[in-house]
Amino acid sequence: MKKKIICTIVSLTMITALLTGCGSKESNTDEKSSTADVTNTSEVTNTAKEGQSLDTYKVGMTFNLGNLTWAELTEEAKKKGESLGLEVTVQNDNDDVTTQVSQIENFIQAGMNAIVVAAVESNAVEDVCQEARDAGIKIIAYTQTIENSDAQYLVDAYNTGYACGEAASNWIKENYGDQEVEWALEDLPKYPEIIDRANGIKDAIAKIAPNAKLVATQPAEVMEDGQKNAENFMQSNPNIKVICSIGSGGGAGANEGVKSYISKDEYSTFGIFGIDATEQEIMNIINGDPQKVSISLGGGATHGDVLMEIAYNFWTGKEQETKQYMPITVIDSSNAQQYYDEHFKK
Amino acid sequence: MEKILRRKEFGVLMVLFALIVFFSIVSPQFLQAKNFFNITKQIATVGIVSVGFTFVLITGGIDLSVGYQISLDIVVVAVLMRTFGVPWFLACIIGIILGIIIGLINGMIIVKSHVAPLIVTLSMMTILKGLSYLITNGLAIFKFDKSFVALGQETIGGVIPISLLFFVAIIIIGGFILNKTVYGRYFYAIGNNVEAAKLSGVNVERVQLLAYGLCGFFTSIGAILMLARLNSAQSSTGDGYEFNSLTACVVGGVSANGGKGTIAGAIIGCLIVGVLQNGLAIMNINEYIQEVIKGVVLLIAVVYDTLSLLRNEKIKKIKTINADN
Repeated sequence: MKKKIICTIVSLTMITALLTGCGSKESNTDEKSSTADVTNTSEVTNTAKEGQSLDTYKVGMTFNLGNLTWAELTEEAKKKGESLGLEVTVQNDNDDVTTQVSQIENFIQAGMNAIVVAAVESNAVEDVCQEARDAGIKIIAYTQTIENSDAQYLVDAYNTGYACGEAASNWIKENYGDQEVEWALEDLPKYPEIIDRANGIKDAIAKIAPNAKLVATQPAEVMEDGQKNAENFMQSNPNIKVICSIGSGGGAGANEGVKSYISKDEYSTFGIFGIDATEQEIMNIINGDPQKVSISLGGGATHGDVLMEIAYNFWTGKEQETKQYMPITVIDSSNAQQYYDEHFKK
Repeated sequence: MEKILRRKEFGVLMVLFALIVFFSIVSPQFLQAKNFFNITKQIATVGIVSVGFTFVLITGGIDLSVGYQISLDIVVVAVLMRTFGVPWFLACIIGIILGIIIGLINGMIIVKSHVAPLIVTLSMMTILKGLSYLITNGLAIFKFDKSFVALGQETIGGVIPISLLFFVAIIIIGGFILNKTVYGRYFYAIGNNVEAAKLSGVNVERVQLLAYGLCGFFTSIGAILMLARLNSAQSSTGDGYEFNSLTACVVGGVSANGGKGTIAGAIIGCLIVGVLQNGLAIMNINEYIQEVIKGVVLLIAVVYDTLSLLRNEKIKKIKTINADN
């Protein structure tokens, strides 16, 4: 009997909550139907197309927040968006394409004016991006090309990798001349863009330091992978002098892994070369650790600013390039401190 | 000898032995003391978490929140050290208390609401993940006190990793609780037949609560060691550890249905996974091929173990029949 009473109370509560929820949604829609903030898709199409006449401009972002650079990017985007009068909503796709498609669908339903998509897999989001564009929503593609987009902020993957490989080659030549030096690569062959980075690294070293020999390759997505790989590389090939990584997780992880294998006196004889220039990587370079270089693509914070400016330009109707590329800068001991002060100093 | 052969862990131990022999033959770098310590460093966290996980599995439960318990634990300890300047040992104690509290909350909800542990801990996983990201905003917290980092990175006498000592200590503590205390017997009793355990006067709720609390305790120790090893805290760290631990336990003969399994088995399971990963990486095998090989070896380990058990039971039955005759 007691159970029945509890069940009845819970059921009644749920029904009341549902009815209240539905009721409030209707009344909200009624109240807002005269403004830009409506949830009806067809109305969004009209209002979004009006651009400048909108009182508020809502931007949705779908990113994998497990990526350090992107976490930094979204934090900055929120700040920059606020300063520009944009309403920014960030969703974590957890590197799962199904989640990402659902998030874009939800953004359409929520009446966003622009959506920034860091695609987990660009082909998989094409249809839903077109659906968003049909609803008058601007799609801003980040890092990966999306055909059904209005603006793209892209990384020149091959040349980014090439810059990393070039820095590693120059360091090899400077420290070991024409000696045969063994090197290892931390790649991540599940993403086409990352494969291009890895190819860039390999091509640069093959061209500039042809005596360097690639002896091991293992994938690294996060710092733990990078550290484990470095330990295994050092175990299987103790003569390795260089580790290149397609990202910051591999770079920073390798730095910790190598430090447990060599003494502090040997740090200058070992080179780790990463990409992304995260705060941790820059600190490694400043501290004189085995990590010698990280390639900056502008940094997460800068990307956040650029993406919000692109969205703002859509709002104000200002013309802009549909394709923009991230700047590629080599950060080494000569400019690491300056880079740190500009990007990370609080 | 016969006793050893009949032990539940014998089958998986043979698989581990076969793997070690194989990698030693194909790669001269594999069979070196340095590499052995490498492997133990690499599996220390998952091993310690698996000890706690074993308690929960034996009682017939499961804790899918351990991955993000690690995440929240390392983030909280990192924030305490870097943002609030709390001495590292105090921060670690707070981290361990946090782990125990999370475990107890899981246990409390499970025993009081009777909702399936899978659902409760899955929900807890999501909550912990959210909390962890809320604290860090997805950003990394790094560079800790050198004496703290030494726990995960330094060695004793230039050979034995400090983390290995923790790992061994945890195995001994776990083994002691499971084999030498009355609560250890209660864990098995509940996992085998909860009703029978109740009728025998076992306070089932309290014992289940203890299992989840212990799981939280061991998970937090694993998390702290991982933080010291990485010298960096990120909210994404720990993701997937629930499945790594589950895999290690199941491979090591810990029954996912409860009532069966040992700490030794779980550790052998961890070693199989660790040796496989290390050996394949040292051989520089393509990552996709690695996945296939790992899957096949794990499958062989489980099938071989089950068949060994069945064979032993069959022999036991025949012996009983013969004795009766």
